[in-house]
Amino acid sequence: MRRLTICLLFIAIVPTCHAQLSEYCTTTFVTAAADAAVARLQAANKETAETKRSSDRKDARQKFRDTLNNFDTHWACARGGKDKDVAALFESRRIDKQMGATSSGSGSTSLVPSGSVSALLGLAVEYGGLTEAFNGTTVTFRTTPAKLLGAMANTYGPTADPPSDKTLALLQRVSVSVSFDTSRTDGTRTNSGSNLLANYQQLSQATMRITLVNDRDPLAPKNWRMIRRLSLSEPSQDVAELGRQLLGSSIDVFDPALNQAMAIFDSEMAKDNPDPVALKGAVETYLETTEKLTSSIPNWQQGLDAYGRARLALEEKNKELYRRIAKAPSLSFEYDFTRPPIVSGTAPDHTQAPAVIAPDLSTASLVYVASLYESEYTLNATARFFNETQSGMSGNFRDFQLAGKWDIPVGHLPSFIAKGTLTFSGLFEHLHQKPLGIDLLINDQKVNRPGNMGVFQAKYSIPVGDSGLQIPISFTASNRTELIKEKEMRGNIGITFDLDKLFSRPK
Amino acid sequence: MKRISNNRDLFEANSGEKITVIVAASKTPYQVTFSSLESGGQWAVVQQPTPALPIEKRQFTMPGGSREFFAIVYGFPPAAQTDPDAKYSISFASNDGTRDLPEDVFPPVAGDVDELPYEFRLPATAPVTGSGSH
Repeated sequence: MRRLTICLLFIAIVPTCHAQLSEYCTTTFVTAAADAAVARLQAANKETAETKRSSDRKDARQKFRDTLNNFDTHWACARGGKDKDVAALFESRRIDKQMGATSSGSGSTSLVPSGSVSALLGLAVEYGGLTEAFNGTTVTFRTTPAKLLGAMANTYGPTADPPSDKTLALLQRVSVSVSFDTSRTDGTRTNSGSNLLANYQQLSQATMRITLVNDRDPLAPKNWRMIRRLSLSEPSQDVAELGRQLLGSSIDVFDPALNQAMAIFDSEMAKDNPDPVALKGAVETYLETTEKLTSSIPNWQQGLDAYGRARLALEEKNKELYRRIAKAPSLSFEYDFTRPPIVSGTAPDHTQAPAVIAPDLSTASLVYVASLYESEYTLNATARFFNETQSGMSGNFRDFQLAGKWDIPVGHLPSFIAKGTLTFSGLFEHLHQKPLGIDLLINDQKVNRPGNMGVFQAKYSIPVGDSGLQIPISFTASNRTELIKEKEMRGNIGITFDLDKLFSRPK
Repeated sequence: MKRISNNRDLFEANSGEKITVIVAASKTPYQVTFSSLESGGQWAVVQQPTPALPIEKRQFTMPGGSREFFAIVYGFPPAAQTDPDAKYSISFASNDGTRDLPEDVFPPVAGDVDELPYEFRLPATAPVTGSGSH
């Protein structure tokens, strides 16, 4: 006890009494906790309704408080800087989100669409065409009506009935998207446009996807029961017991440092503009102080090691369970409405032919997604129909496609290559009639040949940190394009944003 | 029963008082593990959670000669599989009629687990710690 008192005395006078936090701890916990607190407080301060502001501030305080009290924080900071297994616990990712336009849109780097979509809003800007010979810049908005309804519920006021959980669960099976081709500026073909007008002229695609089978939802009763069983299992109980023993021996010792950190939070909470540096300092000082104080607790290190073994054992089980859930099979149906761009070919005398409008397209697809070890594969069957029959067309049926995609997470390449996802895709298409439904001359070649087409694509998606930004780079080879019966090889590069990640940051 | 700190879950309760702990999951599967009670006492399970009603109720009796202390592990799915509104709420009720308002437990800033301590002291041994606004 004497030792403890001396140390506490030094905390106020000599900073060297503090332990030095690892860079890992500072980045993963200290900065994250302070930034989350500031974001929550700033959002709360913008609230005009006093009740909501007060409730949001209470939530911000609760989250900040729990970060300090969470034993995982103490353990990760004590071991995370030294132990790669521990540091790896605090990373997670998922590879099956489709944020770009599907391959029939004019600016897609994806040959085969994935089976699930960004839950909130996916915005993708990609440059470069794929199975069609048009280039353009396509902006895609994708969302689920359930999320929109949930987000809009507040705008109807506190007396409005919120949608029931059953309604929301049903709506969560539906997602919609619209894509705008920003190169469609003035009714004629151009590649120079870049302003997003989001009007009918720029509308290139609208989609609706319905999930028919989804065993990937952790709240599905089957998964719920497996998760519950894990929480009652011996590995979970070991973590709870060992954590209880360590917390029980340290909690009184940590109290002064905890109260000091929370006092700083309370003073920042009272300000209009909370200072992230002050909050970061509060977390930093708390963790440094408590880490130092643990040296006075008998058998702390042995207890921490035992906790670590139990925690890593549980993590293995946890990771395996959620990996199985995340990779469970899913089957979805998708309807796409596609508006081809206005095209103008060249006449036989090499003069510019008048612009022509190809009929709009309706596409019906079944998408099946399942996993193979760490990788994930997607199978896709698609039939497309013209929305109108023009003279010279042989009915409405346009084509039938079978496609497959194999996503392989790449995490063990040399360090100078960023970790990403390597994707191999293949597509077979039987084109029943003229690809545009109309005759067209491009570069002296008639664009009117039905037949079979094969396309192969290799794509590497590079995530940029944890920002939700990805750079997909793809190489595509085909025996022909839909429009021209010539072999083609091309490379595409794009940028995609996952707004779920951006919006979930303040939580 | 009364709360004596706003900086952590620290309460004062009389010997023999029956405290009911109520944990509810919202927008997340119920993945909660209770540690044993430090005093050696036993939990009485009052209500088990189900997918339709993910609420667990447990009860313990405040011991006579020492504090009661336990930890609860709150598990969340990995970040990519977690609903943005996922949370647990925990509240306490005593058989003397006193209650503590529900408090939310949100996903941690990093990782998938919150392991939080809960302490109940006998009145004579309870120094006041923490007085943050609540």
